[in-house]
Amino acid sequence: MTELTLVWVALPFLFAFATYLMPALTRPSLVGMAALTVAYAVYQGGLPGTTAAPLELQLLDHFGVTLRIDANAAAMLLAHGLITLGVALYLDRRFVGSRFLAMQLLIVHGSANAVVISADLISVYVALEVLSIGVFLLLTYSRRAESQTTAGDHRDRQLWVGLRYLFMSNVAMLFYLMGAILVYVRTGSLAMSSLAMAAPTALALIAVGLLAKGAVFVAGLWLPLTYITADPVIAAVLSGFTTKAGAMALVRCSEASPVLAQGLPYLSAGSAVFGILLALMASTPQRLLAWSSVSQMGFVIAAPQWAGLYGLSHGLAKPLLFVGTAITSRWRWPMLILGAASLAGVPGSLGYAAKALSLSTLDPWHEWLLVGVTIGTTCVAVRVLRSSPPTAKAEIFTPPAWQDKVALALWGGGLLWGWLPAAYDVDNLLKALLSLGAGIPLGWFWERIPLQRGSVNEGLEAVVGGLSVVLVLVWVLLAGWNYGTLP
Amino acid sequence: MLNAAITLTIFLGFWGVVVKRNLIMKILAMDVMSTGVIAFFVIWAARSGVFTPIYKPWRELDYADPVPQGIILTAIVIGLSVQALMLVGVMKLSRNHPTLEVESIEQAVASAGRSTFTDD
Repeated sequence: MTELTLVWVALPFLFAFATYLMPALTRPSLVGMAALTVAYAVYQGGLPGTTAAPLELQLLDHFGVTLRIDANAAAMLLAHGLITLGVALYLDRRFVGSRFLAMQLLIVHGSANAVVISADLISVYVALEVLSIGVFLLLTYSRRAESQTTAGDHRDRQLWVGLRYLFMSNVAMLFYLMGAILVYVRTGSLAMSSLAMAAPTALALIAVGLLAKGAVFVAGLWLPLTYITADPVIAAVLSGFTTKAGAMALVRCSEASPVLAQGLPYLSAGSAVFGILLALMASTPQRLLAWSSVSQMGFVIAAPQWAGLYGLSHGLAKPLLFVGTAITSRWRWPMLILGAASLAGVPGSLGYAAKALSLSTLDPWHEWLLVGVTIGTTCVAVRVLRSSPPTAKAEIFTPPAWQDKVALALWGGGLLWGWLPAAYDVDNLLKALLSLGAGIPLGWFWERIPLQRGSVNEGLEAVVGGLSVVLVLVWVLLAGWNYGTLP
Repeated sequence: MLNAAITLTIFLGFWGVVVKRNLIMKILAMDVMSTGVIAFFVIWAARSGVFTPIYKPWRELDYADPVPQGIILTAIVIGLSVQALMLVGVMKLSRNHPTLEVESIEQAVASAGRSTFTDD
């Protein structure tokens, strides 16, 4: 099993560089790699409701690389595989530069896999940096640019958004590095298990790096403009798994460190409320979805033991919504309805099961707050459903689009698969009915409510400045309460 | 003393990233910040001793800790490549925005975005 895991981790990078020499192999290797990841994830117990023994690998010696594949990681790997598989089909030969994009997608896929399974601070750092470079190239390489009349403006916009992302992630990762060395100085090890004895300052620095990559709370200010500007297919990749990678690393850190685990519910609640308030004030469907992603990241980190399942359900629902809002063929409606149902947690979907299971393990205040946020999420989902389809000019995909069908089968099928009997008890069903009953009418009549359409400053200064605010907040959160009780 | 100077370097770099208006200056400030972080690693590695960690059996010396030095080497390479990538992006942006002032770019980007949204 060790050899298979190592080959599987290294294969995407090998493929990506090999396809420079043999361009014809790009798409087959991307599809093959995604299928391999799906198979591997299923084998490791990634399917909802199945279990497998966690696999721990210690490569080299004491300071070597540690990998750990548990149920959370396996569920996220399943999401990586399914999303990449679906997106690979959209990178059709007709689009300019799709080979380059497919290659970048291989690298992003491989590094996201590596982030999710690594269990030491430096492997996570390296994988996250590779991920951010890959995402930058995906963001800035416009496959539509050649055919557009206003190519210059749009390309500048994408370039700017990509640069902003790289700026933010690089500064955040510098904070993370400082945290990593402080952990090393204190404990003499870089494995995540040593975080149990780390100082709150080190934990706060590490948390800021991961929060920024995971777009949680105020550190997620960079996200909306990025999703809107990116091509819908690329936005599907971003919302599907790249932001989850940072959140999953944070969840893994919090499993090792009780101090961080203590602070996590507050970050989760803050992110959920912050995201949903801005989503309710947004106006275009893409912006609604982007802010709702920030809010959903709060749900992902709410209950560490169910983070993988929630990441899987959200990671499959968001690509459906992002691609669904951009197409006009008749496959638009099934896509939107399935995605919105899972996002809002309609019983029967994977989103419902993930939400019910993670909410049932929380403290009462946290649980009811998140139920309240779910009303807002339902409202957002209804508003996305009611939004008007794009005009023919903005349409990206040509009509007889078999890709839509396959993507619907992959992502939507994944959402309907999750039958988890544990999630269907009276308490959870009542909660779901409450949030649906309040959210659907609210979303339906939202346009009639006289409300100030507000927005926040999403400039580069705000994005980077937000990091410092989060740093101070997290430090106060972790250090303030534990002052004197720490080892 | 050295620690304070390094923390100050990191802080100044971060301050520059937030406050400077010009994109090139922002990237330079980020470089200052990453230099500070590299020095931070080197200082912590030198806590146990300042001699180069190459083991010589006939010498009894206080060696520096090689692990942080090894790690920061990776981080230096990554930082360099990210910076090169950003500078390429800035070069491409400078064709349409020769001043590279962040505010003017953001305004242009926002207005372009608004015009595409009204088209939608």
